[in-house]
Amino acid sequence: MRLSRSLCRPALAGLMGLLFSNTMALAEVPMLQPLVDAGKLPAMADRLPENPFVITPIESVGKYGGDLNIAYKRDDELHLVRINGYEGLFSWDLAWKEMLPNLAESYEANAEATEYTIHLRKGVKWSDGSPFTAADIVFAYDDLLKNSDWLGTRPDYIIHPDDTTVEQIDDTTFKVKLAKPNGLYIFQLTNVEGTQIALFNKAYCSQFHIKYNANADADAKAQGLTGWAALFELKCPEIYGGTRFANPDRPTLEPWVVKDPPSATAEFAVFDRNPYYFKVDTAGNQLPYLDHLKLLIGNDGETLVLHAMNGEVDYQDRRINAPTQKPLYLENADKMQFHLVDQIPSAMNTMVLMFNQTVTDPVMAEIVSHKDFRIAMSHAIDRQEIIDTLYVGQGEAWQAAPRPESKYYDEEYAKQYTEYDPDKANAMLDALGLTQRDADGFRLRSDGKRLTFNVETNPIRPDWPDILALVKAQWVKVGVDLQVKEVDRDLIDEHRIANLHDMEMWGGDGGLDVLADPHYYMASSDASAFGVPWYNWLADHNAKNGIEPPDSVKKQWDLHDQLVQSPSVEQQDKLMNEILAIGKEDFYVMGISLPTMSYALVKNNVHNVPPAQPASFSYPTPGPMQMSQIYKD
Amino acid sequence: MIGFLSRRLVAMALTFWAMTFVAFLVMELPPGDYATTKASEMTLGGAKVDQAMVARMRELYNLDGPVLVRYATWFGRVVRGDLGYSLAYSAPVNDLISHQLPNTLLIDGLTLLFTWLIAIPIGIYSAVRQYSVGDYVATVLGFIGVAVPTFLIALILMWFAYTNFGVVLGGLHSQEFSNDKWSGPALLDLASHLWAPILIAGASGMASLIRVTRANLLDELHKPYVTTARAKGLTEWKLILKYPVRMAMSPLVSSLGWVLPSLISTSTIVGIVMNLPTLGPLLLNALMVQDMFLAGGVLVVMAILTLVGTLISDLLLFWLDPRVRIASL
Repeated sequence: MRLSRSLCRPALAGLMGLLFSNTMALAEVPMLQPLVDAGKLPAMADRLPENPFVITPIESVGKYGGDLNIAYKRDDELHLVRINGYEGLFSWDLAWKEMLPNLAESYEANAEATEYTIHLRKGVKWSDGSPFTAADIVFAYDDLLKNSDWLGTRPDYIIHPDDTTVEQIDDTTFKVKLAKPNGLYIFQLTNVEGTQIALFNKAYCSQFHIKYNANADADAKAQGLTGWAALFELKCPEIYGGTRFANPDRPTLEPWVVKDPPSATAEFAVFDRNPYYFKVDTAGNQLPYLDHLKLLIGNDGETLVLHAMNGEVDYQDRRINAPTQKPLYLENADKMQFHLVDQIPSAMNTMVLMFNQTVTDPVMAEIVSHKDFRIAMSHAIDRQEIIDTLYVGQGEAWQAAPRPESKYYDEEYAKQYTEYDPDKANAMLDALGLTQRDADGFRLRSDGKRLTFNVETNPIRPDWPDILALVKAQWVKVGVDLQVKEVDRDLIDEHRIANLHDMEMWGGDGGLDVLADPHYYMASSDASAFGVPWYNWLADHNAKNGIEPPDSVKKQWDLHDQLVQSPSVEQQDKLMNEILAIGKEDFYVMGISLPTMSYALVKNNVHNVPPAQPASFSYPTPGPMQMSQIYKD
Repeated sequence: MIGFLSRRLVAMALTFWAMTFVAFLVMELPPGDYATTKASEMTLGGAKVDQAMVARMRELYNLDGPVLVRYATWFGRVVRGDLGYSLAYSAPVNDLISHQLPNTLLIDGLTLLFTWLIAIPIGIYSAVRQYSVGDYVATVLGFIGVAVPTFLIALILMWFAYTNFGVVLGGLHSQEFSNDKWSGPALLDLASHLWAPILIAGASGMASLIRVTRANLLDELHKPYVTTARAKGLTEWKLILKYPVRMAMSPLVSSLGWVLPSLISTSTIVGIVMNLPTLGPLLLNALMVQDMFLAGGVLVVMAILTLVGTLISDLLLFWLDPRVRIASL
């Protein structure tokens, strides 16, 4: 009796605690409580889908309340797309390696990668409470993307509209039939352009579409516009539309819905939470934690930097994170109570150098086609000197190879031939037969002319001319003459496409987005300056400006074709690694150094921000971090 | 009087037409148009551009037609009061401008008043106490205001305010008052934001007004009637203020003719640097994206302000100075 009584109270307390914590987890969002009580909004359980997307908070489960303050440069819609606009069928994970189900739950593909059946999350609702169904996707495909009058961007997965058909199977399932195999279809849907097909609420937007409303044209003209397409773009803008966040009536699936739009003349803009947002945290609380998104609108960079320095923004990378500003923020960080977090640049190199193996001068072509020549020139570059002089010691010697954070990282590829060894370089060049030198010490070619390479550059990145100046001085020591010329950027492109260049330099894109941008690893586009005519031939065997490439280059192209046609991610990775292995072996392109980290500013009372994330548009930073899980204390 | 007025109005109309024509042609000079600017902006931001969309946009807004035809269509609408539809903001230009116009007029008007109220007394003092320490100090400060570009003064002041007082200058309203603009605390908040732009925009106009006042007054001070008045026993300051200053005022009134356009362009720059919701930033953004209609609309409004200002200055001069009245008859 006594025992049970003494156990009674703790047991009751335990039970109460359990009940209490359970109700805590599923408590209503405080800001929406009055609306729920007044009957204007359904309870939280009814607003969420059957299977909400569960976000694991980066630090801890948060608490409701507060505003997210961002500094916004007027007309910079891409900034808002990154922060509040990344809600597609699939979403990237934080590491940019895995495709996670977002609005879609799962998919099946056939073996030829021509048919995809996609299953949507059941019960997701738009911000006005109407259900999100496959009908909205079919509307976007059939009535917009395939409609030649519609004013929006057609993403690369639907370049040829007639080739694709979309069929609605039921409310949550639809089937896509492609005319040509595309193993990268889901990959493309996961990138930021993929959000385009989940942007249009059929019930609301069809009133502005001529197919569903015969008066749409007349309505538009009555408002002074040229036709229904202009009014449609105004009310239901496309992904990059200038008025993307200008219409508060448009139903969305994003975490915050616009209330006071960032118009041409406003100084501030306010977004309120979306009561039907389909994501929850691990305790079942509906996200976002923060009630409002507030924009501080400025016309130019300086004022925004001042606001950031003054601690008036909660999370900011856009427009204010030039490398030269970093010391300024570090000085003010303690006083204004913010700290900096890292952003991993998606570029893999500060500069890549490509000898043109298809150059029209046959003597030069013969020399640069020898792999040993390229290896020797790579050994002749003192990368550490460049890093110390230009980047204050930040970065490490790196070839044109995927970044360490990428799943395709290969240490050998990244580090091969990066040792500074002028003696070895000289020996290798001698072994190639370039033993004759002229009076100034420069080597002579077999036709008696000086071994000179012309390269064009542009100060669009201020470090480029500096790197080339240092390389020029280093190459003098092995008897090779580098002539550097600064020209307009368009001219560099023109010369490369016309194959008029000896060698080319550019920034090393494709460090993290290897699959999307492999043109330094293989001849995949006219940006592959080491063999543009090879690419021309591969794309069209009968092209007049094409030259048949060596077998290994052709092999890479075939592997890439297979990659595009295989729907399985594992198979794609395997093929990509094979392509990279050939690139490593053939060594077309040499690099200088790994670019240093970029940064973002975070106030100290803001939580659940990752200490590092990739910086890229197709990712799009900071979308995959899930801005809705940020909370403040 | 009627003759004078009618001649002025005809001259104004011709000037207005010439201003819009030149402005439109200059806006056409850069290669490309709104569609290509939008496309290159998107590429720089990292997005892939759909060329077909760009072509469609160009067709829809008739950005391809010959310059004179487009100018004629646009001008025809302008004289009827319809400034067109902004491509960049998808809103009628009339709406956008009418939103910013009161702020612009407020700031420009107050700056003008401020400049006159400060510059004229300093000019008078400079003339009366010629070559004194005060004269030199005023002159040097005035010339610094003229020589240093306005945007630099604005940036220096913003930096100074930030490092010493922790205040970020800029904007016209604080976030709390963005909805109820005319309550007491809101007006106080407005005043606390206004002083900086007025000071900066006024700084450059001040020197010229000081020097002009000083020069005019110096001319008058050595005339015989001043000596006569002194001999007749009038006190020094009463004498100066009543006669020579009044004579020196008339060139100043005619100076409104060039002060107003220079003020409008100065306040445009101040508006851009300090983030004010005035016509200046609107014009800059429109020009950067080559939004023909918005930029043209803002330029039309500025042209009208300038022309009206010059008309008012001419009328004031007419009323103030009998010599002008007689000369024009």
